[in-house]
Amino acid sequence: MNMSVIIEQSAISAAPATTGSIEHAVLAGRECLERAGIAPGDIDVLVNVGVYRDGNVVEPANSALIQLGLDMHLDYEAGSGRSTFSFDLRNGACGVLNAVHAATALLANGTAGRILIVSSDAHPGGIAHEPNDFRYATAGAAWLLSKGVDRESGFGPLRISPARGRSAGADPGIAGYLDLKAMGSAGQRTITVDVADDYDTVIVATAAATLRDYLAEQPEIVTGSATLVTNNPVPEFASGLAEEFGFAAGYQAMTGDRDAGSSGLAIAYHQLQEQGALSPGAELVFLTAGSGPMAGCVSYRVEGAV
Amino acid sequence: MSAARLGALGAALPQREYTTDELLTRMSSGGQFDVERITGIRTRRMVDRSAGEDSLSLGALAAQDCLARSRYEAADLDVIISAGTTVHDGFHMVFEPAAAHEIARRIGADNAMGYDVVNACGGTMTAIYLLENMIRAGLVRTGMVVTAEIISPVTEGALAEAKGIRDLQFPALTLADAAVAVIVDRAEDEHDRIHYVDMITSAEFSPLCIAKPSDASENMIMLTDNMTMQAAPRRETWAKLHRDRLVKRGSTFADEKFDFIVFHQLGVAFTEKLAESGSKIHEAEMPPRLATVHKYANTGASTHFLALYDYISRGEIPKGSKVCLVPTASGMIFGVMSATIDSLVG
Repeated sequence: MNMSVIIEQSAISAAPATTGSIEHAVLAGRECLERAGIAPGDIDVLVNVGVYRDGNVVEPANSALIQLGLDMHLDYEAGSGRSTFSFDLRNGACGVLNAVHAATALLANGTAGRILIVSSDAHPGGIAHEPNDFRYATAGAAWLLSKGVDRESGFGPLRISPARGRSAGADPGIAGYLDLKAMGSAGQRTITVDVADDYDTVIVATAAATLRDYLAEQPEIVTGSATLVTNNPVPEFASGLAEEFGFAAGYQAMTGDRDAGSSGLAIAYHQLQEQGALSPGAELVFLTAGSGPMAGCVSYRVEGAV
Repeated sequence: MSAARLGALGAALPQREYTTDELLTRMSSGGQFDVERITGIRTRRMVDRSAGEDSLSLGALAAQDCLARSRYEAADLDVIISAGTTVHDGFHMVFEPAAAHEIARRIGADNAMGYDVVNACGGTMTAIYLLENMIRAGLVRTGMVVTAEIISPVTEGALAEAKGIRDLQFPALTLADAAVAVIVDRAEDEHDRIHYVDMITSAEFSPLCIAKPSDASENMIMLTDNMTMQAAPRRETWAKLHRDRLVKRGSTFADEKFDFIVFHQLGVAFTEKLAESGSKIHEAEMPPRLATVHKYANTGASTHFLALYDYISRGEIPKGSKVCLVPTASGMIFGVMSATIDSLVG
């Protein structure tokens, strides 16, 4: 493909944990656009990869409500040639890489010039109804994607594996659902997230297998000079894999003792950026792992001369 | 760059059929609605989850039907996108993992990556928009959209809660369940290809239709301001978008010579109004309309392709027909897809 796709800007919602998922995504998206110095109307496609949403609203797509919050092409103006199309893409922590894959096609074809990916998770009932064992941090993040100026920068080829375990009914590792028989009239503030007993070892093994296959397919990646950037499904996830595969460093999202959910990878990238660790030409390998169980990875070169 | 085509189409319906009158005898709210007269819906299918019918089972059946009508084995699929509004695994409404993974397992799509796209009744068209772009960009060769729309839980909510004719839950009485599956692959010639897919979201109207669990009963509910959603400006948006798209291509609706048009199956009268708006904005006659709402009701994200499947199964769509598909969905989503179809027929 005669182009590259870059993360033009990133952001994290700074709202308190009492804020809902829609607002977290809106705040992260707005901050991202302001940092980039562009207007909401400059976004052609808005993808929401958030999973756990306010009140368990299932229609419309949360992306439409987020687009409304961002004041982004609220109605079609005939003859203007400008509009935004938004949709939810859902695949747990790996959804962000599926969104990057789709965005790459949209940018390559000229279907879109700028794509905003937002993510957020919050307990559907708000923090007042959140049980202690709800595994996800209340958080939101955003990535603004556009075409890079040179072919060497940005994302390399993506590898997103099929979910592990190919027999029907295989344990996905994490199952998040609303039990319609048990919810009674409390369905707007109820969610169950079941985690398999062996999830920690399964998700690390899934991530390692995907990363191994990826590095074998992309021999030009020199792990010794690259940083492994990941979401945070388990403690020490990035550092353990970085050591195993000989990366120069490993970094995962820092969201306390809670899993950053759909925002994991975007948060990790943004935190590194804020630390000044992403100098021009820096080589990264992004890795996400989540329910399926499954993982995805892609190389990334920070734009600019070394 | 390769163009994409609609390579194969499959469908699966729940076993149990209900007449509208039969359904309304279960109305426990005390409300009385003349659903059949207002919407033209006579019958519909609804899942029996106690009998094992859910998003995964219906989705797998539609996917297998689609594969059987294609040249492909399940292992040939690079990607599976599940595109229903909600995912039901038995009585669990699932947020993770993505339904696409389990559907891939059940049909043996061992090489397919998978994820879910959620965009209310625009889900299937959204997923095709993504696949068409991914194929054209050379990122994917063959993908499948599986839309198992299990939307009747909000009908149950309306039966329990809807009271007056202006009740925001009335539209929920027009919904039903069905699954479709569509393979999108590389086009081989001009006579079998997707010409374009264009989609937009008019987010100003996104609060007009909200589906969520009820806090008044043990049900899912859908609250819809139908009057505002179906008002003239919204009925015309698809045609204005399409007209603008065609102007860029140096064409007009009449020039396109569509053989058939498929609107969202919301109700007989509403699709007539969509067609009237189309005639007005395009200044052209609308082609013959595919309509199945009278027998399948509004099956959400699966309606357009269920209608197409139904007509193809009855031999009423000749090979090489050019079809215009028009999604309208909560959000609000508007769009248009133009495709000449060959592989789907016969």
